[in-house]
Amino acid sequence: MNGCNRPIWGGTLMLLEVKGIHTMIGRFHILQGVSFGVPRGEVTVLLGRNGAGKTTTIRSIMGLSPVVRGEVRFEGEQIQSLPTHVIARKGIGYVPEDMGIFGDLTVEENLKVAMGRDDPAVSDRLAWILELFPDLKVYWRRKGGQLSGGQKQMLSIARAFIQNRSLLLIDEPSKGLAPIMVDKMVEGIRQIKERTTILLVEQNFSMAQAVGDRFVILDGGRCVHTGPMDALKEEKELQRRYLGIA
Amino acid sequence: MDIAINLIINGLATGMLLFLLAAGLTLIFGLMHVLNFAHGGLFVWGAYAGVWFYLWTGSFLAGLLGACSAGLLLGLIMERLIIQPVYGDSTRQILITLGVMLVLSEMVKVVWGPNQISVPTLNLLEGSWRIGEIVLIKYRIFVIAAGALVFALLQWLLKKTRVGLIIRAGVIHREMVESLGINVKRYFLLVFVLGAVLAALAGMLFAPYSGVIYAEMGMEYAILAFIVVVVGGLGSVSGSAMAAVMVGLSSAFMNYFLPDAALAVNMLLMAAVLLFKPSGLFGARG
Ligand SMILES: Nc1ncnc2c1ncn2[C@@H]1O[C@H](COP(=O)(O)OP(=O)(O)O)[C@@H](O)[C@H]1O
Ligand SMILES: [Mg+2]
Repeated sequence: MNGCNRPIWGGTLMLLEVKGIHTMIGRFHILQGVSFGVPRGEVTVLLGRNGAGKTTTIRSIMGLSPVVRGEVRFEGEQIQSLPTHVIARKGIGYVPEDMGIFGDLTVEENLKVAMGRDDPAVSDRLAWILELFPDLKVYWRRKGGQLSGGQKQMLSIARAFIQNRSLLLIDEPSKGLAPIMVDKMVEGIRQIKERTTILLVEQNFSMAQAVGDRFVILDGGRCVHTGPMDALKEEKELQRRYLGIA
Repeated sequence: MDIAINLIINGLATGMLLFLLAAGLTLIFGLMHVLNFAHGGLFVWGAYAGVWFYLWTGSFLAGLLGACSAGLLLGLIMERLIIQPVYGDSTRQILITLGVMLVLSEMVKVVWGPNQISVPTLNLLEGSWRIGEIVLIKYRIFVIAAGALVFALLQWLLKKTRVGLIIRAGVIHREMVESLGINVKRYFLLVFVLGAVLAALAGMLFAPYSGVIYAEMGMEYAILAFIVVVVGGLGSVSGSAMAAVMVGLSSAFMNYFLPDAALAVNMLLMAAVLLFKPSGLFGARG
C-alpha cells in the first residue's frame, strides 16, 4: 500500500491524474506504469534518484514523450494523446530541466513568445512576475543566453506562468544554482503557489521540504511511494532507499 | 579594372538569386529539420511559369506575379502532400524530395518541350548605364536591388513581427515554443510557402539575366543554394545572405578565370565549413 493509485486525497479532487503510464524513448521502455495524482492548489514534489524517470514523467504529461499505455487526465479529461501545444492551452505551463531559454532572443522577446496578443490579464501577470523576479526587469534587453543560471531559471518560470495556467510543471529549478539563488527560488515558488497548482521535480531535499505539500517517489520508472511531505521527514528508511539520504 | 567591377556586379547578382533560394531552405531546415531537395524544382517552375506569362502578356510584372503564384501553389501542395506525411523521418524525406525534384524537372520538359527557351530582357531594363569607363548592365543592377529589397523585407518580418518572433524562437528550440501553446506546424506551412514563393521569384528573375531557361537550371542552382545554406549556418537568414554574396562572387570570378573549377571551389568551401565550423561561418541564428 503505497498510495500511488488513490484517486482522492482527503476529499480534494485531483487536478491531474497520471494512471499507469508507460512511455518509450526510442526502443527503451522508460516508464513502466507510473501512477499518482496532483491535488489542486498544492505543491506536489516528484522525488527519486537520477534516472528514476522524473523528467520522462513530466515530458509525458506535456505530450513531448509518447505515452504508449495508460492515461493522463487533466481536470478529468484525457490528454495523453493530444499534441503539446493543445495540452499547454488547456492550462499547463512547463519549465524544462534545461530551462528551454531562447538564447539569441532578449528577455523581453522570450516572454513575448508566450504572451500572445494584447490581453490585460496577461499584462497584469507580467507586472506581478516582474515584481517577483526583479532581475528580469533589470536585464530586460539582454539576450537570454547571456543570463546567469538563476536568471535563466527565473525567466523560464516567468515565461511558463505568464499565461493563465492552472498547473505548472517545473523540472529541477534548483539544479546548479548557488545557495542564495536557491533561497530566492524557494521564495518565488512559494509566491506562485498562492496562484496555481505546481508539480515540482526536486533533488534538493531541503528545497522540496520548504515548498512541498506532498511527495511522490519514483524508482525504476514506477511510483513507489506517496504521501504528505511532513510524513516523509520521519521516513528515514524511504529517504535512504530512494533518495540516497543517510 | 572594369573587368573586376563587372565580375563583382555579376557575382552580386548571382549572390542575390542564390540568397532568394537559400532563405527558404535555411528556414525550412532550421524550423523543422527538413532538407528540401525539391527546392530547385520550385526555381525551375517559377522560371517557366513566369516566362510563359511574360511572353504571353508582354508584361514582366505579370511574369513576376505568375512565378510567385506558381510558387505559392506548388509550395502549398508540396507541404501538405509530400512533406507533412514524412516529418521526422529524414531518410524518407530525402528520398521523396529528391524524387519530387526529378519529377518537377521532367514535367517542365513535358509541358514546355525539351529545348531551352530564350527570354528577352524587358525594354525598360535593357542596355546599360555608363559611368566613365564602367558599364553597368541595368538588369543586373535590378536583380541586385530586388534581392536587397527581399532581404530587407525578410529582416523586417523576422525581427519586427510576432510571426517572425515565433519563427526565430522555433528555430532555436521548437519543443519549447510548442510547450508555450503555439502550433509550430502552422508556422512551418507559412515558412515553407514563403520559401517556395521566393524560390519561384528567383527563377523568374534569373530568366532574363541568363537569357535562356532550361530544365536543368533547377539542379545547378539548388546545389549552389545548399552550399550557401551550409556555409551561412543552417537556420540563419542573415548568414545565408552573407554566404550567398560570397558564393556568388567566387562563382563569378572562377567562371571567368577558371570555369572548370568553379563548382569544385564552392564545394570545397562547403566541405571545409562542414569539417571545421559546422554551425556555419556567420554564427548567429535568425
Ligand atoms: N534519450 C534517451 N535515450 C535513452 N534513454 C534515455 C533517454 N532519456 C532518458 N533515458 C533514460 O530514461 C531513464 C529516466 O530518465 P529521466 O526521466 O531523465 O530521469 P530523471 O529525470 O529522474 O533523472 C534513465 O535511465 C535514462 O537513462
Ligand atoms: Mg531529470
